[in-house]
Amino acid sequence: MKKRILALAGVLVLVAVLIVPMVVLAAVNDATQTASTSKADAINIRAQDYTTAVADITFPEGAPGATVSDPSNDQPETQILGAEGTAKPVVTLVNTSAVAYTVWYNIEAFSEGVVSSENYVIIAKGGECLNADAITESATLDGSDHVCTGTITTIAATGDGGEADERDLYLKITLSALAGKTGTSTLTILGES
Amino acid sequence: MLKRHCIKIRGCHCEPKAWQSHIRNRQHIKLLVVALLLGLLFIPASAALATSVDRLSLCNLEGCPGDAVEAKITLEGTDLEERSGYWYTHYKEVEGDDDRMDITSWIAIEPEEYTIREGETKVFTIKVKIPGDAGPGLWGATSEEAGVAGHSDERRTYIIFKDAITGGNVYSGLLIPVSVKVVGKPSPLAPAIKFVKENIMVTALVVVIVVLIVVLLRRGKLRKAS
Repeated sequence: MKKRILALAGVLVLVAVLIVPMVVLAAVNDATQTASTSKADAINIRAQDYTTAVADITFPEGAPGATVSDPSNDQPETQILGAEGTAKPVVTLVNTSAVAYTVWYNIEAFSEGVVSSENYVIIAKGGECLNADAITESATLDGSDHVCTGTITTIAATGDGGEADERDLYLKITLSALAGKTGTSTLTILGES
Repeated sequence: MLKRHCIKIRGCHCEPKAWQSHIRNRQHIKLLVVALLLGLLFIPASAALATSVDRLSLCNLEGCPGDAVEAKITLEGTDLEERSGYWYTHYKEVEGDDDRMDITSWIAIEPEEYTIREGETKVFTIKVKIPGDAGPGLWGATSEEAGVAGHSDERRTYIIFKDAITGGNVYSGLLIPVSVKVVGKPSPLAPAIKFVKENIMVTALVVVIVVLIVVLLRRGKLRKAS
């Protein structure tokens, strides 16, 4: 009996000795695979040429209570309202990422309370924006992030055949009743994949 | 006269054929210069780019109540000009949400503010401190699919970075959804159980060997006793 047990134990030890290297060998016998993803750029805010960066937007002086719809960027280029081919946005939005984005906006209240309301509209590249009434979407001047509203609320991935990776942004403000004041604010365009 | 001119200008003795070749070469050079100048007109100005990020979601982070879960996220400056910006949290409130959706108070981003130049990369640490009394399940989103592109409706809690050309007032940035899967406290025997599961064959053999040795030793003792 003792011999049998010893023989069985010996066989089991032998099996263990054989199995361990097999397990190790199986573990190292892995193939290496490589994959990569591109980085995601934020939406670019650019001038009317869809190329040059824009740092500032400025609205010209107006009478208290007036609607101002001819802001300019720092290139300097002024927003022009008109038919397709004539209209020029104050800034353009360009997506250089390989993913499409839902567009969000964030507009802070103007300091000194000089602006009572702000409107925006995002349209297709080179589209018409006939007059101030066409700038329909109401912005909330609370500094909070909001999903853009309107017909166009997204920007396609870069290289989109229909140029949907490039958008035009038009702005207008209504000045408050305060006279002789200058105020500043910030505009933010965010993307969500 | 042409020959003389050639001598005068170049100080060399050119034959008529060589002179004609020389004239052709000069015409070619002129054409080349004109073509280069025209070409320069059509080279577009280098396009400005916004800041890029290495991940678009931080969903389904796992942790136990009381744990602090950390994740890294990297921004890369791609604009020709320096940009200044900051990180912040955002809760997208939707009617009917329960208290599991807003986890902005759990999140800290270090550092919060930054400036970034073209080609520069900056790594940020997102720390999610799970409260000790958080129940198991998903927090910050309505579904584990929230991290998939286009699943905006399922997201509630975000981190956001935004920046502008330093001194400018026009910002751009991205919303990055965050969600956490809170799991129950693990058993203290969990590492041992995991080891046994991963090495089941070897463990079984060791157990059998040990049992046989014990049986052998006991038999030996019994024989000695008898």
